[in-house]
Amino acid sequence: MLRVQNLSKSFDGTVALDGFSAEVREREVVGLVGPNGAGKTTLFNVVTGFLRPDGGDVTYKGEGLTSKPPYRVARRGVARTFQELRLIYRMTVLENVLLAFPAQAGESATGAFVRWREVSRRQRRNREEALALLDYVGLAEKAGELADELSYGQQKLVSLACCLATGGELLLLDEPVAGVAPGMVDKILGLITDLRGRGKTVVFIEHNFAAVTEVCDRVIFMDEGRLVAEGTPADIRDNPDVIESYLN
Amino acid sequence: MGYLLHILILIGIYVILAESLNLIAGYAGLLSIAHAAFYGVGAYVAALLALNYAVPPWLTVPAAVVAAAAVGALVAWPALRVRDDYFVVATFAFQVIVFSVMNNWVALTGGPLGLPGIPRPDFFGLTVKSHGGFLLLTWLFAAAVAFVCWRLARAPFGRVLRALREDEVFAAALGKNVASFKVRVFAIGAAMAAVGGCLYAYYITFIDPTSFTVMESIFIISIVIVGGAGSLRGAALGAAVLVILPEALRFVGLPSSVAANLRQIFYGLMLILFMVFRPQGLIGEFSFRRR
Repeated sequence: MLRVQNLSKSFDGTVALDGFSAEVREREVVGLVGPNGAGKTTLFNVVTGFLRPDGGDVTYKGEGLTSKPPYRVARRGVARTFQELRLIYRMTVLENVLLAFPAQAGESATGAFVRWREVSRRQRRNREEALALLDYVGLAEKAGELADELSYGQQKLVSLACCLATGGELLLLDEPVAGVAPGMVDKILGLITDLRGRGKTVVFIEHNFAAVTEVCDRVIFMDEGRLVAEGTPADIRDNPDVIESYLN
Repeated sequence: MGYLLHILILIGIYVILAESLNLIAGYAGLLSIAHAAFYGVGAYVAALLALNYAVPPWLTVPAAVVAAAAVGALVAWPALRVRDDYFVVATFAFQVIVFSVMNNWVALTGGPLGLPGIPRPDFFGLTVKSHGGFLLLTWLFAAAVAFVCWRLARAPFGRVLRALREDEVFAAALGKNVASFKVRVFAIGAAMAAVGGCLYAYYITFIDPTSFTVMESIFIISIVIVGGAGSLRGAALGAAVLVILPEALRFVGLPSSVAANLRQIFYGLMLILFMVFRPQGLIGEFSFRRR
């Protein structure tokens, strides 16, 4: 589904990605692990078009995504969350999710005037879908609250609901459970597992190896911008290179 | 009576300018110092067409609107590559350029002497010349502009604008073409400012570059900030307050040379006080001051 080949990226001499290649298959839940500075977030940023790679290719469903602007990548069906959680904090939870729906007729300036009937029908349908998504992530009763007023864990759930609303099939989640209360961790991990049933493919960055073991089909371990090992969670846990990498 | 109507007409024109800038600055968060330039483009296009080619107003206004929208899109394009403070500087530069063109292209614009004798607008045999007529005309256009802004702000289009103001990166990650939205809102705002320019040109029957200076841009920004950025009612309220209050200075019996300077000081003071004590304006939802 997603294939990255030979990606390289450096910032002022610091190598973040060094010939990184990997593949993600449909309906997989893949954990991307590695020490700080291993290049995990850089990889997400390159795949989603927020950073231009110095070299290499990104292919999604057979189409090249390399250096496409972020909005095009998102429209192709690659949704993402951010490590430093991003939401529109001064909008309600519902509005955040509504914002995420793709190709809304009412988003053209003329859409605000002509085809009003179609636009409002579409808005009603989006609203229903948004409420259903919020219900799915367990935030139905928070729909009318400002995103700012939610707990950190709840905000992470909102950003997940936004990803789902984009209709993207590949979700790149950057540390979805970091800094979240323990009860919420289980809830978010439960959702990630469940997403596969909804036809989604998930790649997520995580430091907590227990969380990764719990939900991942496959783990990709990277360090210094390179793929060090990949395999089942158990394989990775016992891999000598991985152990050494973490010990260093 | 004529004086009162004059004030009301001015309020109508400033409602148009403030509502349109509010869409750009208040909703999309793009603080532009070029609004008087678009206002001027509208006024000059309408005036030149009416003076040189006797084009009727029902054609000059659309022509001015299209011209300003095109110029707006043209400005937005390079200005988009820079952010925040640099964007402000880029629009400021454009404002200065437009003023220079008006002031120096004497053959076309009459330079500092301006364009006198703009004919009264004639709508299919009905000539508007009384204060009452202009009041009606101005407020009709102001209502139309306010309606357009209200509809845009309420539509999903407006939701994307508010999202851009808060977090462009998030909007892009959700598949929104940030640059395209910015260009569009800039063009739409410029187009509506041009409507204000047309009304001004027809009403005063004389335009010169001094009406479209940086000071004028700052005055329009003051209206938006005092009224409340991101609020349509705020922009209208701000226009009324900032047009009416300085007029009160006329009645305290100061010589006009002092009053004119006092007016500038008054605007500056008001802007500072609002920025410090009430950055969200009278009824706004959003402040330019960082949290």
